[in-house]
Formats: sequence, C-alpha cells, structure tokens
Amino acid sequence: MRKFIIIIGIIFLGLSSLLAQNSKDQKTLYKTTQEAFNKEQFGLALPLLLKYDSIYHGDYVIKYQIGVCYLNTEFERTKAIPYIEFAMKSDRTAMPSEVYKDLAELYHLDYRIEESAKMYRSYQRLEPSEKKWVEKQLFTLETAKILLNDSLNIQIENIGPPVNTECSEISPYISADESMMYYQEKDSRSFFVAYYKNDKWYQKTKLDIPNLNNYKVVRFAGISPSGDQIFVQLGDSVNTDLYYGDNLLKTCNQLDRFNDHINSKYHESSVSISPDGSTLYFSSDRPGGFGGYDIYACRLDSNEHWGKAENLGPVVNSEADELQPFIHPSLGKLYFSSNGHKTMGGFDIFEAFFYNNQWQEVKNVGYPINTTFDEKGYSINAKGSAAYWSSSRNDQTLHYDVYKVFLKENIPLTLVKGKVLAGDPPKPIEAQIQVIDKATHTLLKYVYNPNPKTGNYLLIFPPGKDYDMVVRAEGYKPYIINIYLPNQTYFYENFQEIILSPIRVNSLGATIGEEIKVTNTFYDIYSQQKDSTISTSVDSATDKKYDQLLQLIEKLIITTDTLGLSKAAYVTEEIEATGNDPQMLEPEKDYDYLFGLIEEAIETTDSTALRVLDENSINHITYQLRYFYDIDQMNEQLPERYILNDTIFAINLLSDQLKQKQALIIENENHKIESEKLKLIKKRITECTIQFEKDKAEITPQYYERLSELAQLLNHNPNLYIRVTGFAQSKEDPNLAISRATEVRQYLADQNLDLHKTVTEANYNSASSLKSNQKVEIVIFESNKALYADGVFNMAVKLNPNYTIENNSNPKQASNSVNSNEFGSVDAQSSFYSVQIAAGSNLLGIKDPFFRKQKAIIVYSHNGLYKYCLGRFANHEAASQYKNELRKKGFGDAFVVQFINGKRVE
Amino acid sequence: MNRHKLTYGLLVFLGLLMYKAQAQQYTEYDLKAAYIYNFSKFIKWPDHSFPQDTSSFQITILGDSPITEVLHKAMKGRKVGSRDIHIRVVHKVEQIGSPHILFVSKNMQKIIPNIVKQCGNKPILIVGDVLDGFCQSGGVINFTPKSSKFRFEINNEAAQHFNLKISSKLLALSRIVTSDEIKF
Repeated sequence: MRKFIIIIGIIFLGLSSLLAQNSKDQKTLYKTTQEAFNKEQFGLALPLLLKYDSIYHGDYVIKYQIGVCYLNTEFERTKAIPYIEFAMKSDRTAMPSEVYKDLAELYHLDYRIEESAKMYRSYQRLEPSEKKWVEKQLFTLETAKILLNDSLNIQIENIGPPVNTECSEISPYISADESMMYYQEKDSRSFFVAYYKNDKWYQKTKLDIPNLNNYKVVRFAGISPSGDQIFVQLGDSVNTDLYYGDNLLKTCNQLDRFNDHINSKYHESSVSISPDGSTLYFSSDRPGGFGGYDIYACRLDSNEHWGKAENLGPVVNSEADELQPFIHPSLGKLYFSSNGHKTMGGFDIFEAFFYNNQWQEVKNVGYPINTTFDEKGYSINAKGSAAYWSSSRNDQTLHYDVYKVFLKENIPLTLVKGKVLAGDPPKPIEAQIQVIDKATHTLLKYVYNPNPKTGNYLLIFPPGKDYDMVVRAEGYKPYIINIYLPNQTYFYENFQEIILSPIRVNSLGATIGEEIKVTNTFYDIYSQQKDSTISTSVDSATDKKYDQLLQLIEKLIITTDTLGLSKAAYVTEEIEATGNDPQMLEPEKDYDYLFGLIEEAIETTDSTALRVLDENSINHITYQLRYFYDIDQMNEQLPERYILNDTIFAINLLSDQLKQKQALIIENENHKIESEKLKLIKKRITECTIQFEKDKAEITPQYYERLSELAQLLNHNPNLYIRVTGFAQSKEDPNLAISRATEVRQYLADQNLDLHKTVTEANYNSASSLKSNQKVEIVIFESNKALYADGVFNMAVKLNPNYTIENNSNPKQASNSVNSNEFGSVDAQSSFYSVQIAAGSNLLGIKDPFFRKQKAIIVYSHNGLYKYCLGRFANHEAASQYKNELRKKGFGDAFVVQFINGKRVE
Repeated sequence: MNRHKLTYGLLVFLGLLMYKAQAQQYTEYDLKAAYIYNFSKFIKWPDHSFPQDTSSFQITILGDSPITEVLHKAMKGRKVGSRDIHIRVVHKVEQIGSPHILFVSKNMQKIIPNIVKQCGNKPILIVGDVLDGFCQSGGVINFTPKSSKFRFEINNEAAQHFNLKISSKLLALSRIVTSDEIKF
C-alpha cells in the first residue's frame, strides 16, 4: 500500500503544474495539500484536500488523493470509493494495478459483491502472477454472496457505553450466566470487567494485575465459565505463553504459567475451558499444525494436570488462522474466529460441531453476525440466548466495538450458581465440590473449587440427569447434596446457597454438632406456565381466564422492570460515584402494584388470580440438616457411599421431595447408603452435671443459663432427647433424688421444652462420696426414632431408690393397659380410681404449668385413643371430689375412671 | 441514553420470554406481605383495639422469618386507613403484647398452643406461616404451602373468639377450618 502511494504521489506531482495557473489562494492551498499528502500525513491532508475539492471540484487528481487519504486513515475507508471511482473514470490508463485491488477490497467491504469481483478480475489481468490470491478473494466473495442471501433474522446491537468507547474493545468474554464481561482495550495493557444487571451493562472496572510491565505482549486470553479464573497471554514478539490466575474481586494477585503441554516456544493465545473443567482449548502457531494459528485441546489427567495437546484436526483448522476458541456449555459446539474456512471477509466467527467423538463440521455463523469486516472473540451465555463479540463493522477498519446478538436458541441446560459460606457469622470458606453422576455412578473428574474469597461456584448440567454434589469444606463433615434436574426442554437457573455452621452450647463451651442449610431458588417461571399451571388448570372457565391473567402477570413483570430501568440511570451514577458493584444494588420492587393486584383479586374474589400470582412467585426451597457429634465415638464413621471406583464417606442431605424416591431405591436394594438410613441411630451428643447443695433440691441460679440453652437446643431439634438423672445419698432422703430430677425437669418445661422429650430417673450410689451424689446428670441423645414414644411423661421414678427405670420400655405393651412409665408407678397389680380429663388420637405435648404441678398424671391408651387422667385415689368418693375441683378449674368434661389390676374397667 | 431507551423498548417487546426468566420477581414472602397488608383492609378490628385516634397499626413477628425484611421494605410509607404501621419482632411468647396482627414464623410450630393461649381473647389476628394444624389449634389465618388450592386457611370461629370480623370476600378465597374438639 505504502509503496503504491508514493508512486501515485510522484505521478501526480508531475501533473500538478497544470493546476498552477489558478489564483494565488488556490495555489497556496494546493501547495499545502500536496506537502501534507507527499509527507503521507493523510489525516492532515484529508480536510485540506476536501476543502480544495469543494471549491475547485472536477480535479480527478485531488479526488484520487482524497480516496488515498480515506484508504489510509483508520476510519471510514469505504468513503474512498466515489473518489477513486471518479479518478478511475477520468483516466483509467494512468492507474496502477494496486488501485484495482484497493477498489475491489473497498467494494467487498461495502457489500458490492459483483463490482468487487469485476474489479478483482481486472486486477488479475494486470497482475497475472496474483491469480491464486485473486481466486481466494473470489471464493470469499462467493461466500459473502451466499451468506448475504441467507441473512439471519436476528437482532444485533452495539452494546454502547460504558464498554464501547473511542478506544477499540477486543476479546470480550462473558461469564456463563452473562453477569459479567471481561475485555481488553486494544493497544493498551488494561483489562476491564463490566457487569450486566437489569439488561444493561454497567460501569467497567479495571482489572488489577501486578507485574505486567515485564512483558512486551500483554493480551487478555479468556475466563472460566464462572468468571472466577482469568487467562492471560504474555510474552514478546517471538514467544507468548498462556497464564492463569484467580480473579479475586477484581484483582488477580498471581498469574501462573500453564504447563509445557499447553505452552511451547511459539505463540499461544486465547483459552476456553469446558464447564466441567475437564478440557481446555487454546490457539497456537506451533509447528505441526495446518498453518497459521490452530486450535488445540488438552484434557485434565487423573493427577489433575493438563495432558498432551491435540490438534483439533483439518475439519476445524485451516491453512489460515484459527483463534479465540470458545467451548459452549452444551459441549457439542465450539466457536472460533478464523480468516480461513468460508469467511465472507476478514475474520469471521465459525461454529464447529462435535458428534460421534469427533469434530464433524464447521459452519460460518452467518450474516449479520459476520460481516465483510473482522469479527473476533465470540462467547455465548449458557442458555444460548445472547452472544458477544468484537467487530470492526462500523466501516472503521481498525476500530473494534463489542456487539451483542439476541439468539432465539433455548438450550436445555441447568445452571447452578451457588455460594458456600461457613461459620457464624457465615463467611466464604475453602471448599471442594465434587459431582457424581447418579446414573453411571461415576465421579465427574473436575473438582469445582468455590472461589475462596467469595464462596461462589458455578455448575452447568445437561437435562434429565441426577447428580449428587459432595461438598467438603474445611473443618466440616462432607455432605452429599442431590441436584435433581428435570428432563426439561428449556433453560433452568438455580441459585443455591450452602451455609455451614457449628452448633454450640455456649454455657458448656462445647461444639456439639454442625448444621448445613441449603437454599435453592428456582427461576423456572416459563416452565411453570407452560407445563404445570396449564396442566393443573381446574376447569375450562379458568382456562379462558388464563390468557388474560398471564397478560396481567406480564404487565406486572414489565412494570417491575420499567421501574428497574428508570432506576438504572440513577444506579449508574451511584456506581460511578462510589465504585460499588452494581450487583449489590437492587432496584426497589413495585410493591404498590403487587398490593393493588391482590386487593383487586380479593375484592372480586378472584381465586384464580391469586393462584397464578402464587405460582409465578419465586420459590425458595430450603432444607437443612443438623449433624451431631457422638461423644462416645470421637472418630465416628460417616455413612459410606459406593460409586464405581471410589468410596465416598459423606452425610447425605435429602430434600423432602427426594425421600420418596429414595424409598423406592431401598426396595431395589441397590444402594447401601439408603438402607443405612433405616438403622436406628442412637448416640450421645453431650452431657453435663448440675450440682446441688447438700440436702437441697433447688437449682442454684448459676445453672439457669445452661438449662435454658439446653431446652432451646432440644426445642429446635426434634431428634434430640434429654435424660435427667437425679442423685442422692439414699440414707439421707430417698425422695431427694426424685425432687432434684423433678426440679430440673420443671425448669426445662418452663423453657417451653416438650415433656415428651424428657426422661427422668432417680439414682443413688451409696458407695460413692456424698458430693458425687449431690447432683443431677443430664445427657442429651440423638435418635432417629422417638426414643420414649409411648411413655408420655417419662417421669418414671420409683420410690425405691434401688430401682432405675429402663429407658426404653417396650412401647407396644401399652395397649389397653396403663403404661408402666408414668409418674406414680402403676404396675399391673395396682387398682385405683382416677379422673380422666381428656382424650385424643395423638400424644399431646402438654406444657401447661397446671399439669406440671400435678402429682400424678396417667396416660394410657384405650380404644385407640390416648387418655389423660389426674390423680390416684383409693375410693370413688375421693376421686369424685377431685373431679368436681377439676370441673371448677375448667375441665367441664372430667369424669371418674377405675383401674383394676392396672387395667381400665368400664 | 436515548438510543439505549429505544433499545430497551425493543427488548421489552422482543424479549418477553427472556424477561420472564430474568426480570425481578416477587418472592413468596413479597406475596405474603401483600396478603398481610390486604388482611388489614378486609378484616375489621374492634374499636377498642385502637386506644386513640392516632394509635398505630401494630404488626408483630414472632421468631426469625424472611418476612421481617420484606415487611419493613414493603410497608415503608404505607398506612392502614390513617394509621401508621408499626412493625416489631419478638422471640418469646411472653413478649407478644397486643398487636393487631401477629405473624407466627415457621420455627414456632412447636409452641402454637402457647401462642394461642398467650393471645387470650385480645383482638389479635394470629397469622401462621405454613404451620401444621395452626388453625385447628386456634390460629386465625394460616398460609398454605405453595401450589395449594387455596392461598390460606381461616378459622372463622377463632376470629370471632378474638372479636375480629373477616370479610366474606376473604373467607370465600380461603379454606375454612374449625377448631378440633380436643382442646385443653
């Protein structure tokens, strides 16, 4: 190009004398223009030439020079076309062959395919040696013609500021959830990140990476699907290598070089990692390829090292350059930029399809994603609804902007965006996530390590498969969390939060267990409308109304969003002012609209409207598990789970929804772990002692806090039970042991503790010291079965101090006879009267202080009902008197019952 | 900016489906907050529950619940009639006092009878957050699990006991529950 300009310059310098006869002004202006032009100061010359041309038009030399200027400035090359055409018309013979070539290229850029082809042919006649090159151009033109004919009906936009600026933005990489974009400003060594929120890209932030100044070449090379890892190309003109680093809240403290399978002594650029982390794709110009840059793949070996690089082969790699690979989460598709293959001009975006274990086909993604200009660095979000790339299409050859296309594809994938936090208060933690494919019982190779600074992780799964996630966080037990993926045909997004926290009894200074809480939030609204709601519609009248209601909902959604939109401008300013993450700022919800909608629905008693609203609300499903440590067995073994080659020890966390499914599996006797669950678990969690003063049964205040805390612990954990054992020196007072135990039981009951969960015992040991007998011992158990299910008030105290009640009496014998475990010890021989006050089909939790003060409560089951009696009387009169008292106290239905030999008689 | 507004305008029309997946959505608790607010419109409290003309409308939340945050946000600047809304969170039954609405959070399942007892016959609308047997135990309104036929259930007998008049419109939209015969 340069050589050609100089030739032209000399030719026209000779002609310039013809123009000299004009006025002095013209002469001066002409002189200035030519000086600038000859010095190749095209930017300076262009306005002068244009001015000259506007005054003294018709001079084809000037026109030609204008054309040359346009050709050689960065912008608006195609503006040169009319000027060069004019010059060519005026004197075709004076034109050097390069002019034909240039014009052909310009026509090409301007989509004037036929004219371009004609011009290329003219060029070839002048330069027969260029035949091969011209043929290639003609082939490109042919491709362009076909693609232009098959234009895609899609919406493309320049994403504008703040991403696109006067600088050139290149290598845009979006995270799989499209929440952020990393890119580079061309000719600068700066990388940026921008955030997407409410359909708008927000203020970019410069990515802070130290020590880049040591390298001559610094290029952005890609990100991991979650955006937690960034890739950079560093080096000099001879050799560039690929590096990776953790992206920690917009800084990357350390870059590590990929191993020598990936890096050679030639150039490596651009990286893309498959979402399961097992395969890495990169571009390299190392020898042994098919020409220029080729795309290679590396797989993670069993030691988690990147293995040998394999060239993707001649289907993907042409003799020209293949750059910027992007592997889509659906795994069957690889996107890349190439100036080979069937490009319609410059670099185009291509799509390669993988099936039957090999790369089968490469396709141009088509016009208008591709143009006759350069398109580079294409990445698609996981759901396949939008793609981004960098292009010079605005007729500005060297100026790149980031563009976005809205795709109609709906890829049936499930995206799980999660966060692992641990501790109290919860903070991000070092953790590992492994994934098991439940169908094949294999462990997926990749270990998803949540970003330790943020706790964030991202998993992408194909539909119709069940996975188990094994979460191992430092200092906690490993847990298995099921990920149930419906066989959906739509994109499915799931936000998952895992919070691990220790369970502590502060007053004992003991950590007795841990809790895992998993919250899933589903964004599944489309499917609900399409699948569940319509199919569950009650009647046709509802159906008719349904359309109308959906419109209502849509209106609602639009309203919400418009509001978000008007807020967007304000939010942007705020971000600019404070530098905050836009992710942190949520636009306020329009509660007025929702409140009004519900009011209207109630006013018109429109139950369908309420139902639709309900079904369209976001569903949070939380399930949690508390795991208690066994004090008797410090190194307890966790349940095992067998998968193909590995055994995993972990605690299974099941959601309610899955329990049913799990039960089926037990029937099939396939899983060891599930049958494990049926075993009775009974373990001691913690124990403590309450000391009493000599001969006293009052709890000293120092124990109040401890007892309250234990009561609260039991109230929050249905599987926990408490045993209270009172001690006394038998010789002093055999009742003291009972009184002490009762006192503690009552204190616990005052803290709202359900008395079903208490078992009280009395004990004494005359052999041991006095002090060791002035106490109450408390043991907390965990059991998966109600330990004392049928003994309602396990206030089972025998007055005989030599006797300790068995904890686990046979619950089944209760039928039609008095349970042997209540207060007052009813044995099979005893006969008495009592006052029945209530009956019920379930065992009742009685926390009324009234009951706690009663001396004898008898519960027995009779005719399928649990019946509750108060008092024990030798004769009917005494019982009857007590009945009247009770009736006055509010038990209007109280009546006297008789027991003979421990059995109720009618 | 103008160009962007235009683009967004286009987006709203073209990308509706996409919007459904991405747009800001109301959550379960947003809806519950909206119901609670509307309860105040469709339920009549006795006059003596407002000692003064300027007495505020009291909502008390018992226990930890996501509704707390939502209510604070959603009720901001709102009034029941001419009355300000006052929201309070308590953790113990004894602290309930005499609010107009008592929201009983999920983790209070175990102590429902205590709560009902604590309310005595004060004009308190006791609302349960998807609690088992809540209305059967004397609670007034209980939210039902998602995708139930009715959004909530009402024990109108209990409401009468508490001197609350529930609009027939609200009753028409709910499952009617009566107290169990077994009652202590």
